[in-house]
Parts: sequence; structure tokens; C-alpha cells
Amino acid sequence: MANNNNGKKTSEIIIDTLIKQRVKHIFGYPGAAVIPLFDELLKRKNEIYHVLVRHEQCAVHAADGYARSSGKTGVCIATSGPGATNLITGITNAYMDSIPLIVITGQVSTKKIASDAFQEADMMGITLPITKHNFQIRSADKAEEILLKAFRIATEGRPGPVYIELPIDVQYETKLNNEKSLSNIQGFNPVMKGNSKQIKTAAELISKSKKPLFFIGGGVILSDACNELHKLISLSKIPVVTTLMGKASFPETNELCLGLIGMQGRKCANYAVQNSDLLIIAGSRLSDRATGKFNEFAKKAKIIHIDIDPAEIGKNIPAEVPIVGDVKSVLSDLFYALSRISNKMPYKNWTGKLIRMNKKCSCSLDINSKLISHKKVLYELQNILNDKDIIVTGVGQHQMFAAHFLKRNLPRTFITSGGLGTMGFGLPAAIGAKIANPEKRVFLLDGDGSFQMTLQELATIMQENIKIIPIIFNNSYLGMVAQWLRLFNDNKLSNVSLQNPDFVKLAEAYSLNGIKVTRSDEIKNAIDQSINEKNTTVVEIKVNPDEDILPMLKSNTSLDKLFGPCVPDNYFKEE
Amino acid sequence: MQNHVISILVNNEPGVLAKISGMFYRRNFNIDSISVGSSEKYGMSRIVISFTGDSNEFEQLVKQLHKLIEVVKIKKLENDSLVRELCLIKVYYNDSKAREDLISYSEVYKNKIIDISQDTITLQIIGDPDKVNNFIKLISKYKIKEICRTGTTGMNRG
Ligand SMILES: Cc1ncc(C[n+]2csc(CCOP(=O)(O)OP(=O)(O)O)c2C)c(N)n1
Ligand SMILES: [Mg+2]
Repeated sequence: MANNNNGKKTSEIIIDTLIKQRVKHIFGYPGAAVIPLFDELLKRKNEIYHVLVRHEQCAVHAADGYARSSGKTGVCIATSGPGATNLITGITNAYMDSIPLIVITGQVSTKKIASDAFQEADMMGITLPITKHNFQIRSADKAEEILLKAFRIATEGRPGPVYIELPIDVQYETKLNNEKSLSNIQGFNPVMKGNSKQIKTAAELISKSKKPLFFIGGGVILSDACNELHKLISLSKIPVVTTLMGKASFPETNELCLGLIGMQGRKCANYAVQNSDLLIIAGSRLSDRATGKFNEFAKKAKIIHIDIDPAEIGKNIPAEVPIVGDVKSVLSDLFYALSRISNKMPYKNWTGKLIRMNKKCSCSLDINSKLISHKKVLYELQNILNDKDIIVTGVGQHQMFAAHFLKRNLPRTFITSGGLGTMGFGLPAAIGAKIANPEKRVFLLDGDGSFQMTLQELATIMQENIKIIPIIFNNSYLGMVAQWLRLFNDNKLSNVSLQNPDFVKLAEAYSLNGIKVTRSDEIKNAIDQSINEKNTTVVEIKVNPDEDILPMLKSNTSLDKLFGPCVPDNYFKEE
Repeated sequence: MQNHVISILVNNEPGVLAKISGMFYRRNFNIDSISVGSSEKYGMSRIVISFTGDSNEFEQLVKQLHKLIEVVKIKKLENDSLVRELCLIKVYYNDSKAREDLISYSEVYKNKIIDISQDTITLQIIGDPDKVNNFIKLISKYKIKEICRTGTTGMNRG
């Protein structure tokens, strides 16, 4: 950094450094322990805009939605003690899905730390297992250096949240020395380039394989490697399946895309994994939701595993060809390696078969039942959606219906809480996504339960004049839990039925609009109206409370044990 | 299951031990011993960890350690490496026969007698953990008042 900040206060250095890192938005909530930082935010409000949320958890989720939808680093801020502990769910959510965030909170003054002072919480201890790294800034001299390091750590290698604690006395302190801040971090050099011998081996295996398959996780989107993936698939004509986090890394309307894998996966996708003889896994940590029972996963396949985090390779599933590196770089190298050798595509039959299965692996979403089907809502929505629109979801049946049936073609247009499955993520994440992408339409697909976990953010929408298109799938149920109880607990429904507020009136209480939909033929108009309205207009759709999202797997069973309709019985007979 | 010893160089920052031990706990690694001290490099400490597990577990342990930002370098110790542990044992003796026996066992083991009182004798043993274990076994018929072990430390040869 050119200037040395000499004579500046820490709070000034922090906000200044954020601005120099091209941070345009910050999500947060004030309190006594961050007054100097907020004072600085006020001074610089034309350069960095602070969005005031209504609960600190939502500051993290909003920063997270901002990051997922834009590829930038999300930044949020809160006070010490309760402000800081309110962030925990949000930080964990981002950590599980490897989202780059900078999370800053105040802390009691350095002299009071460890005295159980008012609003002191041991956030350095609490955030240990839920961040990629954490820092405490103990002097103004270190402020810029730590922040620069935090940005590097959050974004380089496998991304993740970095927490920074800033005691109140340090915020007021002035930088005295003239030293330049260095962002060099000893011992932190993620391997970016994959081993060329391993990549060559991978290419050779592909050219000899009879049943190869790409298995794509969220890492491909995080490392911006979707173009490289696309080139590789166009060259090789190998079909592809994706995890929930990898959804839309490859266009889902392409016949080679078999779609979602796993517990809530498509039959053709799960079938392909279990019958493949060569899995090329990229940017996936192979979560149990994606793989089913570990020791029955892809038993016929050799495994090539590409990941920037070596600890993910061999953690759950052993790999024959481990390749550590940035998937963007590795997929690009693999493309060249594959174009240099002769590939007669001995897997042509396999590809052809999977394309045919893919076409048959569908059921009509255009269901006109009296009780509205989730599928009908998605049917209408699919007709309305453009590729660039951003979908954000809550957690539950509605999320899995959307993940399974909605086709998305562009990365960063399907935003959902994967690893943690955090109800309440949807609304604040949609706010973040809209702020990062003001020119795009942002649709929130939420459940009645999930929505009520963070619905106070309707006030943020009102105050900031944010226009999103929220669609609430109201089944008056914690639907996903109810489904599990119906299927695996002898239909004994314990505490899953919700008596709900009137969501239309609720929207109106926040000076927004609302539309209630109770008939299938009203869905399209309601969504159109919400899109066209200037104000955010909540569309509440009363959906069938007893509808299951199928097919699905029981926990800890193998991928071929999917049960449920949507494909003919003799589907897997064809050879 | 096999014993593995690794030596890691870490930046001596506050909380580094908490981070390492927290990671072991979270990832379910069972550590036999851990010993920490300053290193030849300014601002860096060396931590030696002894761990029993299969090769997959060991590989995960090393990879997870690498992810910690404070960890600068990890070295696996070879089978023939120089490993040592220091152990202090305070033992009760009832009569002079017992005391003489403890002293002569200690001579064989090249232990140091560092303290003697009316009814206890305190021995210092230095050696690889097996030697320490064997000695403790040898004197187990006596009533032991206290054992303090530093845990394994070590380095590769040459
Ligand atoms: C914060 C949190 N608490 C509890 C759960 C467990 N859980 C998973 S799905 C679900 C029900 C979600 O209900 P709703 O948002 O109405 O969606 P639906 O399944 O009805 O579509 C629950 C309680 C969770 N994932 N997150
Ligand atoms: Mg519901």
C-alpha cells in the first residue's frame, strides 16, 4: 500500500482499507462497541454504503447472498457481545458453503478483556471452528495489515469467512509508526496449479473410459471455472451431474446435464454415478447429502478428485487420481491435455443412453389440482424466468422442489444454503443479492416456516427501497420435517403444523404489497403482478400441505435407493 | 494402527495452541502427546505431536493442520528419528531394600535420582517413550506418588 496511514485512527484505517479493497456495500447493525467505525461510515457514506438490517444474523446472510450472487467478498459489521453472538449462524452457514466474507465486530477495551465486562463475549474462542481464520486487532499499527491479510485469506485458496475483532480502545488509537503494511502471510500459499502428470493421467483415463461422468460441486462456481467446464464438456461430450452447491455450473437445459445428485437427486443423475466407471469430481467436498452412503458410493468407478483443499480429497471417499489445485486452472489444463491425446470416445454409447434417460427422467409440472402443487408454481415460474434472473431459496421442501425441478442455466443464479441448511437464510440473502445486482430480478422462494425466521427484514426492504419478488410456499407446515415424519416416523406428526399470520397483511404492515393465491390458475398473474409492481410485493401461495418432494433417499442409503415417482418403472431396464 | 510423530513449526501467535487442540477435538483425532517450545526461528514455536491411528487418519490430520494459517511447516518424523521424552517419577519406598532396588534399577536405565525424602525417591528418566513406559512397568509394584511426562519431542537424523 502506498500511503502509510501515519497519524490516522484505527477506525479510519479500517473503513479506508475497505474502500481501497473496492468494497461498495457493508451490512450491519450498530452498538456501543463500534461507534468509531460507524462514525467513519457516516463520513464516507458516499464511497461505502452501509445497509442497516434488523438482526445481525441477517447482516451475515445478506453479505453472504451478496457474495454468492456476485463473486465479490461480502462484508458485515456488528457490535460486541450479543451483536457478535447473533452472527454465529450466519458465519457457520458461510463457512459450510465456503463463501468469502469479512466479519468485523467490536469488543470491549483491551484492558477489560477477560474481566467478563458488559457485552464481552469470547468471540475469538467461539469463531475458532466456524471461520477460515480469525484475528484480533491489538494496535492501530496492525490494522491495515490484518485487514489486507483477512481479504487474502477469505478469497485465496478455498474461500471462507474471516472474523476480525476490534476492541473499542484500539478503534480510537492512532497509528504511530511509518512502516508499510505487508499482506504477506508465511505458510499460506494455496496450490493453484494442478500436477501436470496427474492431469495427463486423468486425460488418459478419460480417453479409455467407457462410462465417464463429471461430478461437479460448488467449487466450480466459486473459482469461476464454469467456462472451463463448459469447454471441457463440449470437447469430450461427457455427461455431468451436480451437487446442490454446483447447481447451474453447467446449463441445466443442455441434454448432457443430468441435474441434481444425491438425497433429493434426479434418478438419471444418481443412476449415472452408481454405474459410471470413471468419476471426474471437481470442487466438491462429497457431503453425505450428495453421495448417499459413503461405502456404497460409485463402487464401479475410478475416481479423479480435483479440489483446492487437499483435506477434502480422500476425506469421505478415496480417490485414485487426486489433483490438488484451483479447479479453474486444472479444468483448463485438463482440456488441453485431453485435446492433445487421441480420444475416440469409447463412451459414446453411455453418453447416448444417459441423454435418452435424461429426457425420459421427467414428469409434468403442469398439475392443475385443487390444492396447489409446488410443481405447478415452479411450472409457472419456469415460464416467466430468464436465464439472468437470480433465485434465492429458504430451506425445506420448497427448496428441494426448486433444486430438483427448476432449470437454471447460469452460475450464481441459484442461491441456497447447502451445508448448514439454514432456515431464514432466504430473505436476507435475497436482499444481499439484489444489492449486488440492482439490474437483475431477484426471486425469493421461501417456506412459511423459513420466512418467519427472518421476516423482520421486510423492514430493511421498506427502508432501503429494495425490490425483490418474494414467493412464499405456504403449506402451514414445517413441510420437510412433516415429510420425514410421514415417511419414516409412522406418520406421527410432532410439532410441525404452523398457525401463520396473514402474510399479505404482514407485507402491508411494512408498507409493501401482498397477494394471496389459493387457486392454480391465479399463480401466473400473481407472479407477473409482483414483478411489475414498483414496491416489493409478497406472493403468498397456499400449497398442498401433504405433497412430498420425491424422489428421495433415506439417510445413509446408497444413491440407487431413490424412491418415488417421476420415472416409469422399467426405466433402468433399458441397456 | 500405528504411532506417528510430527514436528510442526508455527507462528507464535496468541491462540495458536487453542486452534490446534480445537481442531483435534472437532475432527475427532486422539492425540497421545503434544509438546511445545520455542524454535531456532524468531517468533516461531515448534510443536511435536505424537498420534496413533491408521494411515488415512494420519493423512487427514496432516492436511487439516496445514489448513491452519499459523502452521508454517510440517515434518513427519521417520521411524529411525531421534525421539525423546523426559519423565519425572516420585515413588514411595517402605524400607531400605526397596530404596536400594529402585536405585539399582535406575542405574541400569541410566536414570538420575534428583530427590530423596523420608519415604519417597524422585527419578528422572530420559529416553524414547518405550523406554519410559518400560521403566514405569518395571517399578509398578511400588506405590507411585506422581508421574509427570513432557510428551514426545524429536527430530529426524542428520
Ligand atoms: C434454523 C433451522 N431450524 C430447523 C431446521 C430443520 N428443518 C429443516 S426443513 C424444516 C421445515 C421448513 O419449513 P418451511 O420453511 O415452511 O419449508 P417447507 O419444508 O414447508 O417447504 C425444518 C424445521 C433447519 N433446517 N434450520
Ligand atoms: Mg412450510
